[in-house]
Amino acid sequence: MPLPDAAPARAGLKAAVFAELAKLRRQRPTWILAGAVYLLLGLVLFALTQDPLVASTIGQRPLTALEQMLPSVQFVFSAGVGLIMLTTGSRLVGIEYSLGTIRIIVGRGTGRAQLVLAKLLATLLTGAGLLLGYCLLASLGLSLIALHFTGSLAPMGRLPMVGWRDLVLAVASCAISATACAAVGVGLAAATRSLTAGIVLSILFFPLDNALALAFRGLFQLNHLHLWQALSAALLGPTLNRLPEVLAGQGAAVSQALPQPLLQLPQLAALGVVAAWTVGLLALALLTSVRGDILD
Amino acid sequence: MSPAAALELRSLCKRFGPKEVVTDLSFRVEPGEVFGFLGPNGAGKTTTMRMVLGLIRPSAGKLLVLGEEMPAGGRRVLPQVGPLVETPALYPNLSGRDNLAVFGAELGGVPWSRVDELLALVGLGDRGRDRVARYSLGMRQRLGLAVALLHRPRLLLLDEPANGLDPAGIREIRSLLRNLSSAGTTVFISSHVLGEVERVCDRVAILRRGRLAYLGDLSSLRASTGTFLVRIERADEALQWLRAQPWGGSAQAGPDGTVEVLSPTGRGRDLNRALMGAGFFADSLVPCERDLEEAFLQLTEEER
Repeated sequence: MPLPDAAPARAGLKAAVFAELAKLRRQRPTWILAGAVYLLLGLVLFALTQDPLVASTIGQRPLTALEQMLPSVQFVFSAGVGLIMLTTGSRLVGIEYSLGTIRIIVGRGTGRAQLVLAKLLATLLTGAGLLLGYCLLASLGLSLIALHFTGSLAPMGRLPMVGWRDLVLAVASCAISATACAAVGVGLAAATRSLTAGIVLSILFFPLDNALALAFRGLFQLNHLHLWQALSAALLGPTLNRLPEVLAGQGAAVSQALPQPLLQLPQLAALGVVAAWTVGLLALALLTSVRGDILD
Repeated sequence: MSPAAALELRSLCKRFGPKEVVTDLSFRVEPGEVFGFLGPNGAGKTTTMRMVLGLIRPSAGKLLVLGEEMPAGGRRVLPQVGPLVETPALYPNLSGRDNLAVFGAELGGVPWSRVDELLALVGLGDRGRDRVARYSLGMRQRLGLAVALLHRPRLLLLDEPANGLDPAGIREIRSLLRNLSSAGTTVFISSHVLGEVERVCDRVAILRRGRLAYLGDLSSLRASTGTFLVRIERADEALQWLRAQPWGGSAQAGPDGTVEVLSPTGRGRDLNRALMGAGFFADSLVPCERDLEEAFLQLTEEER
């Protein structure tokens, strides 16, 4: 019986990220969810063609039209891709423990911290790809709306600098939100070392987070303790809900309908809250992965 | 200076809370050897294999894999180890080919030609594109072995490799392991199928309650029973007397007026001397040879 030749054995971070991407490429639920998000974007764009405010302003005041359209487009991404990041991150981590494949991967020299980082990076790369695709589709959709109402792309040329800045900040807000969601998914799955627990906790994280904000609001109205305001400002979900407003400096109806922190944090502080949660969850993932025996 | 052992355990211990699962375990597996690792359920075999793979950390002692101390040297040395620990861990929603590709990507990528070569080697050439969820236990076992062989490891760590395989499959795997061993690969097999171990292993270690109960080659294990078949007059009386001795509790009647009994020292002359002292004169003392199963059971059950 002929024996196969030796293959190069390298267990580096790059190889680990490629392996995670290879797993993700074959993960059907991720792509079904992504398709659903893009479909939802199409529906939102179609609904915007029926919006009288967009119809009346896009020709002469394209900035007003953009401000009317952008929040909905941004919300679909944040919610849809956020959910994908949560489930993908927790699935990538949790599945190794649930299937026992962690034994094979770690048992062949992939470091535990490296594995968690590889999974986070693969999730983020997927998020970046989805964001890129979303931006392209959204740009195409917005251009078609301009064509639909004015017969040309001239409104885009007339968009003032502040409009382009808003667009860039919207993309930045989406990227930050997706990164935080990936950290939640990876962190909770690594902490629980379970696919089911990881996915369930990740999906419940933001509803609970937002419910807490509402609870703090109720408690504040009861006793006016500053503590409730401070606690609500430290919550991730409500901070992300306000992120578009915090970055662009103006409110959006869609995000204002969601629970908000009781304190108006300045831009840097709000970003600090998101960064602290992201780093904290990543540290939790690394610590729980590196420490302890793998008995799964 | 002797070459580095493929695997070396020095006074290895593992505790989970107050419970010591592996106690003062020491042995050495030489390069190219096919080594059997035996023990009843809960003896500490899987815990030891997990320590070798860096999945759990030893509580005390030293563990060297291919000359590198674990777990510190794991990153350097584990890419040269092919593990198949417990049930084969695979991605059920992927095909056999994709499973190999994904595990191969972890090691820097392997070409499809190699994936197909390995599938053919383990007898899954025509089922490689099927989802693993549809595989039988035996097919998963074969694929698990292919995963372990992806990068031609220097040390192959197999836990129950014959699990779920039909007789033809077992023979193929046996032949594959022999080929690997002659090509220089060290094969470390943990198994309950003693007949299989007997067929492929050069030496064995037997664990009992986390401690080493036997280490050596199989022929010595079979020979070193210390039990004799004694042809003796007044066999019934002799049996009663033997059973009353602190070392003779396991004595039993043999065929045709014989008695099967363990010598107090393992040597025939000491048994004969004891019998004579009690007024029993043996016609003959024949040392008993056990098969591996008997030896295994005797070594692992005597404290139960």
